[in-house]
Amino acid sequence: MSLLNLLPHLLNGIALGLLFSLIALGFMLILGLMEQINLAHGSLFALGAYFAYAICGAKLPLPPDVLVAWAGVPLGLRFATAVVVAPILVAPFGIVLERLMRRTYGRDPLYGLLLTFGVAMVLEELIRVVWGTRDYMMPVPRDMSGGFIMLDLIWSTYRFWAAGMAVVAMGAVWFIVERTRFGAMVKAGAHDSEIVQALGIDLTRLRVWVFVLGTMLAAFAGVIMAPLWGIRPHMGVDAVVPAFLIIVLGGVGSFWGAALGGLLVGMVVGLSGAYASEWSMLSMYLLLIAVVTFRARGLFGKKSVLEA
Amino acid sequence: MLDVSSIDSFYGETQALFSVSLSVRAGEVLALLGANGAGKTTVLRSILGLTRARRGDIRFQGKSITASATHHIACAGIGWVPDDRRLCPTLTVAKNLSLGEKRTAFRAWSLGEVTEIFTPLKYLMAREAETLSGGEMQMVAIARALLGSPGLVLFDEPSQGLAPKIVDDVMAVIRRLRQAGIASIVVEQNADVALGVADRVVVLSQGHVAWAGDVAALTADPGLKRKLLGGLS
Ligand SMILES: Nc1ncnc2c1ncn2[C@@H]1O[C@H](COP(=O)(O)OP(=O)(O)OP(=O)(O)O)[C@@H](O)[C@H]1O
Ligand SMILES: [Mg+2]
Repeated sequence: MSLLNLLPHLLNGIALGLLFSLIALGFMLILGLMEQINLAHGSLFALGAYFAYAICGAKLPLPPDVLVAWAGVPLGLRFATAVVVAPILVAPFGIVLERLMRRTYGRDPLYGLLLTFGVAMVLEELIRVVWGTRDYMMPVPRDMSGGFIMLDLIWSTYRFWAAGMAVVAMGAVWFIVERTRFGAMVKAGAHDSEIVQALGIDLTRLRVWVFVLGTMLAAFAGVIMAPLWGIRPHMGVDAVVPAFLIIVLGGVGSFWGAALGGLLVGMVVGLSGAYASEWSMLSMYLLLIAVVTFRARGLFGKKSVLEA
Repeated sequence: MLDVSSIDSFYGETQALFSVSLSVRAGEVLALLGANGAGKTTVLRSILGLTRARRGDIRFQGKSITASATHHIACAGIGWVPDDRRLCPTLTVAKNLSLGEKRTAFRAWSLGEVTEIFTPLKYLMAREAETLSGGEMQMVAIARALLGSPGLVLFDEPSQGLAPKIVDDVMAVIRRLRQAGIASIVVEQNADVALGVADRVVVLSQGHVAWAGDVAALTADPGLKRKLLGGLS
């Protein structure tokens, strides 16, 4: 296999990596402000994918005539609706989860881990109850699917779209975190929760909004990822592992750390998939074990979650 | 303006304050003095609701704030300049200041007015807080409190770690706030510095109020002053 042949896999890696970064950024914002690891973050990602499927496939709990009318709407419009609406529909799950997590704030992270692990299990079972255990394929509009030939190589159109939509979302997150007062509040609150309250900022409300943002990012990534990974109840776990890995690699509280870490993990998954597709997920878990064993400091020498 | 009556505060099961009472009138500077570990910081933390008073009552502008959320207490018009300044190190000076901006029932301060008082801030806006000197950090911390439009500012050891010249500047600012009608509580280890700006004094000892009265009464009686503040002045 020549190196040039790897290019489409590289694109695959970039698309995956950017989506992983989005999941990781939400995970990181929550970890920063609540000082708790949200193991249910992957379940929010999975819910995003399932809700998108329900919207795109017109499989919603709505009156039959409405559904028929909706199914008649062009797929492109239904897909676009799913991209926007699915994250909004998942947001309330994040709000409820934040409510449940309140009792763990300021406590040993073990409480949060156990609680969110339980919530992840509940959400995964809920998905099985509602949608069953089978896999679903997300319908993709014709213009976004299929492939084309460039440089004598076959490229998948949707991966370009996925990478593009992820870049737009990353840009939005960068703007929110780095350029708005809300972003400054989140950073200051993660550093020192007492002072932000003493400055008159309602920390309780701030935490809810951070959860909403993190939830919507995870759900958005779930929507975009659905056509790449397929939709299955276990997909949440496959998403939370790279997020955790990225935060170990990139350090907590660093936007660019998460972006670079995401690309790195995406590349590993994408390129190992080039040689043996069955290996791509396994390679991610192996990388996690390797990083935790040999480089818990992360790539940038910042204090990592493992040392917090 | 502020009335603290007989508060008891604890860290876990350890009692730090024993029936502490004090009051601050509008536009007045109160010096809160005492040795290491006397409970001065704890008084400020209790007023802010960061360390809850388990017994007693704290009233600000006639309303009880004993059980209020910290952000409500801040929005009522109480500002805080903590002893370790507590800026967000990775944010710029401008961002640190903007976090403090809010409106209250008291006089609002614009960024322009605040940088008139602390002129060096104009050139520091884009710097990250962690790169500032101690004196510059103190300036940002005070400016941040002012931008929150306070009626009362709680200063915790504002002279700590600063060069004498900068201590003078900080005290001049406290005087200036007083002229603008803003009341202050100034916690100090360095008693003479605080007595120079204060109207009244409360001396704490091991979590109890040891003495309270006018600055003049204390400075007029060197024997009393030595007894209360022994090593502190
Ligand atoms: N976080 C804490 N946990 C437990 N005990 C504390 C805590 N903070 C202060 N204390 C104890 O409470 C008492 C009062 O402390 P406080 O910090 O209010 O004193 P202070 O007068 O401000 O002293 P300093 O001059 O050293 O700042 C001390 O005995 C101190 O050891
Ligand atoms: Mg103190």
